[in-house]
Amino acid sequence: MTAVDAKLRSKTQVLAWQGWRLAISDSWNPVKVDGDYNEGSLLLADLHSPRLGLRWKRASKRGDPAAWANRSLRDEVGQLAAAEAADYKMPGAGDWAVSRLYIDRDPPGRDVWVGHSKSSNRVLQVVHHAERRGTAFSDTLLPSLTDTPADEAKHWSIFDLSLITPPGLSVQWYRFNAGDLSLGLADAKKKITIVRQVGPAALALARQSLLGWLTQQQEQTRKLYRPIQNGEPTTLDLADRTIDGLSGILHRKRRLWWAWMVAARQTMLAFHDPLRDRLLIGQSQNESAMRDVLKTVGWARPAEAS
Amino acid sequence: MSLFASSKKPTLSNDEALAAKPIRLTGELTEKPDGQGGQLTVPLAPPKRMKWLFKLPPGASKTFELDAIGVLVWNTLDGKTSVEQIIKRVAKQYNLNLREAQVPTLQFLQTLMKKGLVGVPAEKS
Repeated sequence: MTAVDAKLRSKTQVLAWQGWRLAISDSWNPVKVDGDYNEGSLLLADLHSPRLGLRWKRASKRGDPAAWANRSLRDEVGQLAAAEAADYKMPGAGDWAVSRLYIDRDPPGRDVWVGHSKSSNRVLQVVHHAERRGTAFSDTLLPSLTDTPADEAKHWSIFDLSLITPPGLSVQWYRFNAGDLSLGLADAKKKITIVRQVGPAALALARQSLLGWLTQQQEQTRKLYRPIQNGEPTTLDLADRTIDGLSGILHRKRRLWWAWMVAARQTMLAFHDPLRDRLLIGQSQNESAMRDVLKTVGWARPAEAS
Repeated sequence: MSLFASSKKPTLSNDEALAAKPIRLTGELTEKPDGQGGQLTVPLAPPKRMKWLFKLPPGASKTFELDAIGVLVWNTLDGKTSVEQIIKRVAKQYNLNLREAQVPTLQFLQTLMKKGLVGVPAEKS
């Protein structure tokens, strides 16, 4: 095992985004996130340079995935290098109609894998920036790659935020600030559920109390809503423990009585998870659905009891 | 030769910036007893060219409020710890991933450098 392999295999984390799920190095983090489930891109880098790039899009009904794979390889590494690519049998789970892999013989360079997933009818291109020759890309990273169909529950894990959304709920927007990660989830009826994670909680609570964080979240909707109940104690039952928090209820402002498109009522929840040292804030019209999502937060990195 | 000579400061590459070992130039840190931050006291000095206009009382100082992460970073600015090591130390201390530790640490260091509190020793070629 080369030093590169040992480094990649020793510390890994799960990256799950827009249905894609794979194990990457612990030192890699997203630096560029674009698009949605149908088409998008993701660039991962460590402190020094880019390491992995993902690019996907929905395969056209008339198009030939094999032809797309060849064209994609040619565009990425050139005609001569693309000719050296070979069919690659994906050892992990997943139904791949097309799977081709190109390994750069003389690193530093780019190893490229292209594939077509039957599960979601999407084509994916994965580019690994290899500094030294190793087999981690083909032996560790690619076997962990899986795809989730659009109509199934999806796992999400990016930076420190991980959660599971039920079928029909997709990420509408996202905001990733250092220590403050937010995802806006929407269903087919455009009902929004917001999940926000703030950490470290010790520093966050030193800045303002949990009620202050709940009030700050409510301030973002003050143009449309007014609080009618704030700071009521509540709890959230996780798989292995119960965490305490506060709840608040917002009602649509009276002057917006005619705005049927604006939900009449919203519920906000704020919890402090001392084991993960994180604050969890949720906002939604459907409190039970929001609680179901909040219960799954942290699945990728289970907290260890001290 | 240009009519207006430009004094562009040399820029560092990403790797050079991460390998740099910043050192405290001035300032005294007083940590809070609860470990939730501290106060950094810096002696004030008038601008070099406007000393005759801005006269400060002797012992004048300015105080900056630092949180716990700021105190941790300030205490590691000993000229022997690289920026990359500081980032990893912050990530490990507060259970953050490297990107979440990198962004605020670099911004904090840039702020300290702009205010003249921190410098990077130039290596002899």
